Amino acid sequence: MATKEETILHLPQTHWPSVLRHHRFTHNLKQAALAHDLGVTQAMISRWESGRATPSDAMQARLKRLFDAATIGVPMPNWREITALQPSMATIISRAGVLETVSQGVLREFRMARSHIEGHHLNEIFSGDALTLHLSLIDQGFFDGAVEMAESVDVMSLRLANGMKRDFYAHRLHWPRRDVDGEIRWASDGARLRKDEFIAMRDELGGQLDVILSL
Amino acid sequence: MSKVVSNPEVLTIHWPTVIRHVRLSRGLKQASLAQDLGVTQTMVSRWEAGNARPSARIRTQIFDMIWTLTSSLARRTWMERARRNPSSVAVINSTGLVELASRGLLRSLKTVRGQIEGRNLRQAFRGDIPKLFGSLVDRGFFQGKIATVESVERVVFTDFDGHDTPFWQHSLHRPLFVANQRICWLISGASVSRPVLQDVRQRLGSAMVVRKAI
Amino acid sequence: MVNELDLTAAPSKVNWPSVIRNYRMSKRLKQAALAADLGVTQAMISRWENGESDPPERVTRRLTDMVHDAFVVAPAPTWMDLISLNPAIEFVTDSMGMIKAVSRGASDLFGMVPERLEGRPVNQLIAGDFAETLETIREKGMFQNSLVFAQSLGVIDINLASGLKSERVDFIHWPRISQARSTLCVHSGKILTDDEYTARLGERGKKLVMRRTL
Repeated sequence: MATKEETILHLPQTHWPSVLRHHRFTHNLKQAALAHDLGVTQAMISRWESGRATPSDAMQARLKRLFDAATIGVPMPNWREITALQPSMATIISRAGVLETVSQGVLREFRMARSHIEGHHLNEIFSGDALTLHLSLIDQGFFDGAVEMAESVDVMSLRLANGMKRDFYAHRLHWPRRDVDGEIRWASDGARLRKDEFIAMRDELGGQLDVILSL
Repeated sequence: MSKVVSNPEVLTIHWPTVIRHVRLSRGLKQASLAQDLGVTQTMVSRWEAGNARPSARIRTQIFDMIWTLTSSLARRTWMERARRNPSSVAVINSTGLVELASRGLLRSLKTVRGQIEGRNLRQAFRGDIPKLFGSLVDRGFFQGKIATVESVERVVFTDFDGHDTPFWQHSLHRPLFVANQRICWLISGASVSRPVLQDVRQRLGSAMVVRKAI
Repeated sequence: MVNELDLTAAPSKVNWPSVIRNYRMSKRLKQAALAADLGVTQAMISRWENGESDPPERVTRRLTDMVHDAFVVAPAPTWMDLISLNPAIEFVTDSMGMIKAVSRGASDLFGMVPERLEGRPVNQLIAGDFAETLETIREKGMFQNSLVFAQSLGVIDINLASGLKSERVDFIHWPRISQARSTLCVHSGKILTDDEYTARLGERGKKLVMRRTL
């Protein structure tokens, strides 16, 4: 089993004054703010940084965990922002078939830049299952509130720039979500499958698509 | 290796942060939030300063307010849907108990629901997951001080027979404001291969990206 | 790396029912309207869409052109596409602190090609004064439409592989709605000489000026 990558903090001789100052500088933390985060006094931080004192073993462990991350302050993410951050394959698509928001997972699987996908129509990116699914959902009244959720096992056919296509298998869950403008959006989340998983899932689902209607 | 939480404070909701965070996220001044909750602006000010603790009624309202910001579903319906999710989703409570595992997570772990739901993460996992748990506790995750954390970790799952399933996962961690004012740890992620892992690690720049609640 | 799938159906056969239906739906055309465009009856369109018969070659050739024009021709550039063409320093971030787009000038400043910058947390690349400014405007509600704009004078420290690069800069930051209707922030600025910096600071009076919305 591979060992985790060592950072400078895990070397036997950590020069705490440098490490603390570097961390505070890169993350714009005043001594008081760091002290507050750690639950110690600002005077304590000052002593560590000047070298007059060394953090205790327990505190060193905490500092190492705290420093191994980049930190910023943000407002509470809304539904779209969370979707954009998802490592899985998640999308938000409008009734007309425009990919409004896609996740990091989508960018990773499709190997495309966000600007080449967001704002573009499904037709420009896909052929095959992805398109027929959109039509099926419209047919079933998905965008009019008739569907509670749907599950699909798809062959995603990506159109490439050179006119060729790249195919991969996906297992996805779809549900309607009303946005602030009152219109229903098509939200979906899912994962890529291997071929054997695809065959098994198609078998389990009994086809490409399973739609659960609202009561 | 396992972390014993001796200070229960780290698991209690830090109301000043949570109230300010939801208020600023909705773009409200204290007076507007006060109106929404049916209290005075002075009360909101005192809560945010930590000079007073909101009543049980208010605490429930705040939690519901936060819930509706991210989901239009009732919590129970959300849980049911999360279980069906083909991507990897887990909900773990502040004591480390795995409350929910999605279809996609079961696929990554190569196991069935009974082998993971209801188990403590320290028994079910070795390596990065328990370490991550400790790190989140340290940062006040269960107090509501964190908006999201993004990371890449090596997951090693051990089933009841002692069989290990290791894999790399790119994850997003966020607080789930469940009922009775508990915050749970919601992990959503995707398994990644070695080359993709290096790429994600490099883009993140460090082991984790922590987005604190403003 | 192309994935091989051994589907048994001939890949080059066009699924006309799907193409015709799809084209109609995206253009919100009723069958009668498309029939008029193609010089056929509405009944014919209906039969083609049901797969009851295949459209003749005259029609398929015409359809191919129409579909091609509708979907394959590049759409007009969005405001974010235009940013990438700007020779000056300009970049866009979202509320989670991720870089969404960079100009030529910004990519030169950060010392990296745009592909490596998009999707990265901006805090990974920037330290000091400027990073603090970004945090402050986020806190003051730039992404909740609380600010009309902000102007900042200060030092930008860039984390380059070769070390830290510092420049005095004057920047303007303002909110802009994306295609997906979320609020982004555009940062546009210029590197200053020490004299220019001192002069501007004198004129403006403060390093950070924020204009709030009503």
